[in-house]
Amino acid sequence: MAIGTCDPASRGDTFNSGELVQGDVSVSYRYGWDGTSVRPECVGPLIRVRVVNNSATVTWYAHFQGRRGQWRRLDMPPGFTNTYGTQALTNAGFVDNTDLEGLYITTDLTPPPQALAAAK
Amino acid sequence: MATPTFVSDVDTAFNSATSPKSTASLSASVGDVLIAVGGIEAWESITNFTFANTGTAATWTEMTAGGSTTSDTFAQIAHATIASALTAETCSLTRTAGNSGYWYGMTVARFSGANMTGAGSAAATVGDTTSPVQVAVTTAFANSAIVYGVFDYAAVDAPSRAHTTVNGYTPTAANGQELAYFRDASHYTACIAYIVDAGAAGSKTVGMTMPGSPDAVVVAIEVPGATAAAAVPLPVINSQHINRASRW
Repeated sequence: MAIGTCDPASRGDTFNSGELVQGDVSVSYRYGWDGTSVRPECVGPLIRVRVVNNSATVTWYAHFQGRRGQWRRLDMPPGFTNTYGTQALTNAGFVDNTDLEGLYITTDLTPPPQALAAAK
Repeated sequence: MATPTFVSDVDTAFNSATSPKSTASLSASVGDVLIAVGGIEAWESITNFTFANTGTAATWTEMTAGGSTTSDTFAQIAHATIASALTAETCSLTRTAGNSGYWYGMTVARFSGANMTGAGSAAATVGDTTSPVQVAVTTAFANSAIVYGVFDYAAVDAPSRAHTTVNGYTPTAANGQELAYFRDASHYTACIAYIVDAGAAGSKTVGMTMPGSPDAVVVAIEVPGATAAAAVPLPVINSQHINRASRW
């Protein structure tokens, strides 16, 4: 099983982490623990999100549906690499790690239509 | 038999428990084959997923399925041959049982020039501490593609993963043959890839290396090429016309 609990310390880590790689694009993230949530529905403060687009020609978009169904988006122009810290994520509307759930990487500026309907 | 042509792939989200969940939009032509590989972080009472699509409903044929040890990860493959063209539609995967908090996801790969009749498939439980995580699938035809998925309950991080080479083809993210890689330390690891051309018919081992102690299930399916077109018959001379001509 996945080692430990929502507390990253139970894995010997200082943070929880995840990554999605699809071809030229990767989105990785780190988050903490709120001290009360339990697996599989961990909740914690965001630490950072890093996006990388290795394509020289294609703009990609990371659409986050969020556990509460409110879409947020990070844009990745060709050759784009960026790390968003806590403040930048707050400014972009991210509150905690649950806002990172439902991640789609697409070339469409708008979220997937079917997923959008499901979120309503 | 000609090798099928990989056209594109779309994914659902991997990092949510929302059910049903849908892919980004895809289009497909009549005769195209869609291969869907889905997996969930924990098995529990799940015995199968439900696969579907918007637009004209295709017939989804569920092939191999498997769960890792102790009711951990579960994965399943299904395929559909498109009978009515799809334009900007989506495919969906529905969890049929189990804890509604578990994350799961799916990749759908589109092939042209494929014919799924007689295709082979396989599933393997790898269990703890074994790397590489692999399954042997017996291809019934030469030059088939193989699509496979690895789902690991231990949520092993595999940033330097290496896919097993088959007939000289080694999927990587860079060459586009690794279609998706997802991992969250609190949930699971998922990786979906395909082999372009598995070569001669027979047993083929697909999978990838994973560090640490994976607890994984691996599922795979053969994607045969469409049967080569029948040889064009030699023109037949209509003897009646000749007879008539002979009268003229």
